Amino acid sequence: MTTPLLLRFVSEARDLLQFAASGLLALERNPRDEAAINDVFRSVHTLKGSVGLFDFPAFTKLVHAGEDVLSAVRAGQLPISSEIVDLLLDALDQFGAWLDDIEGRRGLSDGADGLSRDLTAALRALLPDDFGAAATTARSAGELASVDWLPDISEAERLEAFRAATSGSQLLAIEYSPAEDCFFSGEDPVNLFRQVRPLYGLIIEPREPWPAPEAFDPYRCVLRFRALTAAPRAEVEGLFRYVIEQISVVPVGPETLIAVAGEPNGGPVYGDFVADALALLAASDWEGLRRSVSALHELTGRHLFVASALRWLEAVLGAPAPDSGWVGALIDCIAQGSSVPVPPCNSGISTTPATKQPHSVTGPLARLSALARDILDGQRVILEMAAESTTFASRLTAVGCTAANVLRGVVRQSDLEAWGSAVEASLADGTPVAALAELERLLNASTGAPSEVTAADALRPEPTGTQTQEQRQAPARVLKVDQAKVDALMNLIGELVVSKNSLPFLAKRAEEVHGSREMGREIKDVYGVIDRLAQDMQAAIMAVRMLPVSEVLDRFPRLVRDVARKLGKRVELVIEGEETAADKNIIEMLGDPLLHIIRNSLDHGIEMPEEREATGKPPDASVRIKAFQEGDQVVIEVADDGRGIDPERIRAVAVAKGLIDEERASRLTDQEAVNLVFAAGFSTAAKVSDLSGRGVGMDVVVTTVEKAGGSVSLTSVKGQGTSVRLGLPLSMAVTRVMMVEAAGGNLFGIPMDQIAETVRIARGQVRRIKQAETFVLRNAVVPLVRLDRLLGVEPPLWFGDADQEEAVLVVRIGGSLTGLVVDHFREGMDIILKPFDGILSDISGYAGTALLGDGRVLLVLNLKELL
Amino acid sequence: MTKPAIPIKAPRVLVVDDGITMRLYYRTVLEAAGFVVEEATNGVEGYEKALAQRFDLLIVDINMPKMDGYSMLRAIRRDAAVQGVPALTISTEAGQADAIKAYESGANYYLVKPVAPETLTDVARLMTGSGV
Amino acid sequence: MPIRFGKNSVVLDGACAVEEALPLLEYLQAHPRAKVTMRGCTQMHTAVFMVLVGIRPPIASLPDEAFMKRWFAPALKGEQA
Repeated sequence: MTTPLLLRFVSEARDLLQFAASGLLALERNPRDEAAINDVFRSVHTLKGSVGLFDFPAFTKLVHAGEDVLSAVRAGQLPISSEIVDLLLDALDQFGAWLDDIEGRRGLSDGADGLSRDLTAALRALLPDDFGAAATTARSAGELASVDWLPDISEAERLEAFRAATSGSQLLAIEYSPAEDCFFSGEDPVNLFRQVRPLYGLIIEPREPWPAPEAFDPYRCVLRFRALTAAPRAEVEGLFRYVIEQISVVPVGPETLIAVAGEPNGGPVYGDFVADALALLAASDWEGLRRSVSALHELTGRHLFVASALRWLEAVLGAPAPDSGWVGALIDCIAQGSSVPVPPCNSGISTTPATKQPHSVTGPLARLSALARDILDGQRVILEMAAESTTFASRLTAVGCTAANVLRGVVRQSDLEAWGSAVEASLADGTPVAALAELERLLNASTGAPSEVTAADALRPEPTGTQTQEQRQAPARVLKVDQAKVDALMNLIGELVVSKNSLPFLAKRAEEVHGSREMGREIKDVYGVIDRLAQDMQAAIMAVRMLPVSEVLDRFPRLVRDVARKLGKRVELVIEGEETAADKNIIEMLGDPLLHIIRNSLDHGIEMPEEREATGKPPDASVRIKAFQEGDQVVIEVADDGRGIDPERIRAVAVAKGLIDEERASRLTDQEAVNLVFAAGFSTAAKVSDLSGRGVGMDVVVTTVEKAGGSVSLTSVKGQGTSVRLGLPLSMAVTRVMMVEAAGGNLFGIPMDQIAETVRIARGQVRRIKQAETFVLRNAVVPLVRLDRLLGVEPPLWFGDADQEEAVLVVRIGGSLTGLVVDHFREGMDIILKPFDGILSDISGYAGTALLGDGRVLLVLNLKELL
Repeated sequence: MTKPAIPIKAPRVLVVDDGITMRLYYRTVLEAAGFVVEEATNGVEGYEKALAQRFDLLIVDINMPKMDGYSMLRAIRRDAAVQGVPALTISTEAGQADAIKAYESGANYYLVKPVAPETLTDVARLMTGSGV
Repeated sequence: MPIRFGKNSVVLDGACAVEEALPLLEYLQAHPRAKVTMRGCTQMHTAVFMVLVGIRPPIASLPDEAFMKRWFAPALKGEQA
């Protein structure tokens, strides 16, 4: 979706810029040209709407400032002048340059944030003081923030910074006051400073006194960060680009760092030193002064005030061309023994206690119902102000319709009808009173504690009569109900598919029992028609449940951006084939595995930009998610161009963790070694990261995907990248099982995808190893398990004939083979699997049940749980 | 008339916005969610389309050439032929006054640009009463 | 778990993410004298850090990790200049 949208944006934006520029020129010629100002304003306004869709904060902020200026001009608050036109044209040129960047590289050039801030500040400076509140949030670049906190940085760090400054670095003081709710937008303020290098000081303080421990809100950020760095301004602004209005960056002269402090314990030698030093200073004999300072420094206790002054003198004298003013001031300091005043911090803090409650976590359900409430509340506002309107009837109808739509599925049918009648009543008497009263009632009713809805209630069809004491359905039920209906259809068609399977039996019976070959053939013909129809119908119903994979992929651009930023990595995410569709259940289960794979890639696969450049790769890594359909599978590939997986390292880790022994490790091919990352308990990260870490490895991905009947494979080339491929069935609805007979003639279904083969082995070939039974299958020893025993039934005893054969189903569970002894094999079959519900849902060992063509119920085993 | 039939067909949305990027965005998001989307590029065209065809929801930008969103909605609410269709305005103005003005002109809800895809689909689903 | 809560001590280990802040706060509220060991902590989300500087529990050890060792120590130990 992004690319066509972005291309459309670039071309539209170019047209708008062209239009705005010619309008501005017309306006300059004739400041009263109202059509021109409107044109310019609308162009910039439209641009603002469009650019907001993308993640270009620098661009968006500057467009916003431009629009504010134009808005003031249009409102007559700001007379147009050549200066304004020049600035606006500059801004338009900048937009044009950025559009080139976007088109070429899909991102703004470095330094865009700083440019945007400077231009934004210049534009905002034009605005009248009382212009809208929005204009006040941005701090202009020219406004100097106070740096009186610099002496709070330890002397050692200030000295280090001072030396860097005197050898040519420009020091910057950064003050960052994050928004209180910044944790909710994924910010991690303190860790942003990890990337500020070199960092000479970082002071972290609360902006207000800490509340009592019991009133503490861990998710309201009240910290303020102040830092001293020699990093280039563009780099700092780039790092903080998403919060650029929350920081101020001020250049710091080295002299600001000089602050002398220590114990005021004087001594007689200082008088001599001062006299000597002043003489040397007068002669600009820096070398002599250095020696003198160094000699005295050695004799002075390091905690003394004088020692501090001497350290600063050494630092000042360390510069290639010492500043005699600073030297003189420091010598004066020693002469007078008086401290340069260092204002204590911690004093100017306001005393407002924190009262804000901790934010509660809201799930999608809560969000939806909050949204619904908000829309309903809007209808209330409209009703209140529509009373006098000439279009009252029409608007009441719209309100009636909107509210009914929002309420549908959230409230019970009787409430919906009450709302309908109230709207009718209001229409009839021409006042909103009845509708308002009903709406208020509904709004209040829905704030109550969520009523308990039992499974039976949820399934019951909505009453059509006028019952009033029905259980109210849970909020935001509407989606679920719809899905349930589709599911019901799905089940019905599934049963139809199964029932039609009894027709061939019937045909056979007609031939064999009733001796009518013709009848049998006719039944087979009818079967052919029904079979085709049933299959078409099944496909049609399955299509209703199909969703595009974009449902899950849409969240990734933002996630990748946030995570990459957090890690200091640069990543370009490309999504292809997001329109590929699969069953709703498949789409829904895809989210977590994909999230895990992508986080793994960002965390472990993608290198830091410097590392990439050092190995000749572009600094921007690429992560490509590609979805497509292949046969009856939907395939999703996640490929990165990161460092790849080193099979040697994997072998070493696997051995170290005791997953395999060294001998086996050395026999593994590289691909087999790489596949070890899927083994449970494997995690290659040397340390647990807060992103993909926490001890959960790729094995979770495999488990989840396999549960849905899919498969995961991974290929990786060291130094070139890793690609993970998920293959999933298009639909989970139909399961192919093999039926077996066990436990005294009972039928059980076993999912076909777990079955490797069926074999018959003579009883004499069963070998006992201690208590366990095994048999040899093509030179491999396979453990033998009796299904009867798994199901808690004592297997029948046998005596005698060692040639008698056992029916063995060889199943593959978690990569290893197991032989399952059953009484008899039966046919394979497509079934609609229904998981157990209610009190049965706790029973392990069963995947669920299915209805057979002859009305019997088939229990389908979950071998993973049983074995 | 206040009990709209449960939409059997996909709900139809008319998007009125002069920005071609915004229209493509709305179309992409809403179509992915199962809506049928029609476009109009200004208030006049929007008004004409809303008269000519049945829609389950109007999504209207405010600042547009020829006829702005407010005027378009007022015209629609005056017209007996299209009364009752829920309308949503989406503009870049976030103030309380802008919301009131939207409500006064006949909107049933308003959102502020940029609108996240999930918000847009949630609101459209709620306002059309559809579980698409 | 990056945070392990003991009877009267809490250990921060590895990378402590934003979601750890609330459990940590609740633990420190309930155990005001619990000591905090951070030696093995490699990264700490701002929210977690804020809980520590806001509540000021007794510190058993600071993180060994260089960035935190250098810059978090003054705030954690209460040595604001």
